[in-house]
Amino acid sequence: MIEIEGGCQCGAVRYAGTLDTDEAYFCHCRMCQRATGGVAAALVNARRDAVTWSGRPRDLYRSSPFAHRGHCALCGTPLTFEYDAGSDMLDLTVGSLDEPGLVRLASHFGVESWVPGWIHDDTLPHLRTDEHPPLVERWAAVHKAE
Amino acid sequence: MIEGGCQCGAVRYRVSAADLKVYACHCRECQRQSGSAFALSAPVRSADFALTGDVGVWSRGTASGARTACSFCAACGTRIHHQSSAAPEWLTLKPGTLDDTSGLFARAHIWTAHRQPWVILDPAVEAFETQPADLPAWRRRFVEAG
Repeated sequence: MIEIEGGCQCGAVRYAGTLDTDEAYFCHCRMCQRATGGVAAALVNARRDAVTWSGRPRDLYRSSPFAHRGHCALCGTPLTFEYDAGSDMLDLTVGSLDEPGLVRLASHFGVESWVPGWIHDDTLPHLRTDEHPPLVERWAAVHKAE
Repeated sequence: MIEGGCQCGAVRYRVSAADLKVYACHCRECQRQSGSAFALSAPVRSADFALTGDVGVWSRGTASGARTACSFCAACGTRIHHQSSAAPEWLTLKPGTLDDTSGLFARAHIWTAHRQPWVILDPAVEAFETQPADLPAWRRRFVEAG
């Protein structure tokens, strides 16, 4: 169990809680690139009920038919990736932790849009978004409903 | 034409330049702002940049005494660009927001003293432990280099 605190760049949105794991991952998907303005988001999984929010509530942008991305409405800092249903977990952005050094990189996700040259690593597990059942199943349900 | 925009599409922009020169910053402010382990910056001339849509602006003081205005999509929070009061003729674009990120070539890293230890850099890419003494002048040379 790792005690964490974090928040956005302007300080309006804050959170505190615990992580069950120190295993963070880079998500290289195009939506994470846009959300972070860079080549990858650094994310760590947390139980929703293990994170307490304070200050201004985070704004939630509906980034897909089944998920939201939390951010600060006053400064834009990306804070979370959250499925609407079917999960009692959410992802926190590692950069928003007060001490990002509490976690470590364990894997790479969304590697179909990995931009080479920035993160010099070929030793950790790599997964494409279409190799991840929780995401594949949610998109299949969306397409079936159409 | 170089084009991009935020996650939700409300903010769109064009850059009139042949290409973009991109560096990564590993300082804590950039980690927080991006939510990731480092942020990317692509300096562009303000006169070469055209944006449509509603942006929010949050500004912060910097160690040099200048203020940095940080613009983000008012709807989805995506950070689009920064502009320093010390060099308003330039913007630093957040290039993860480009429609095509596949060509973002790694040219430099700054503030590697604050690099997360699990981010392994390519030793062939120029790296500064802190930042060049005159950052605006360095950015201009960086863009004008071949």
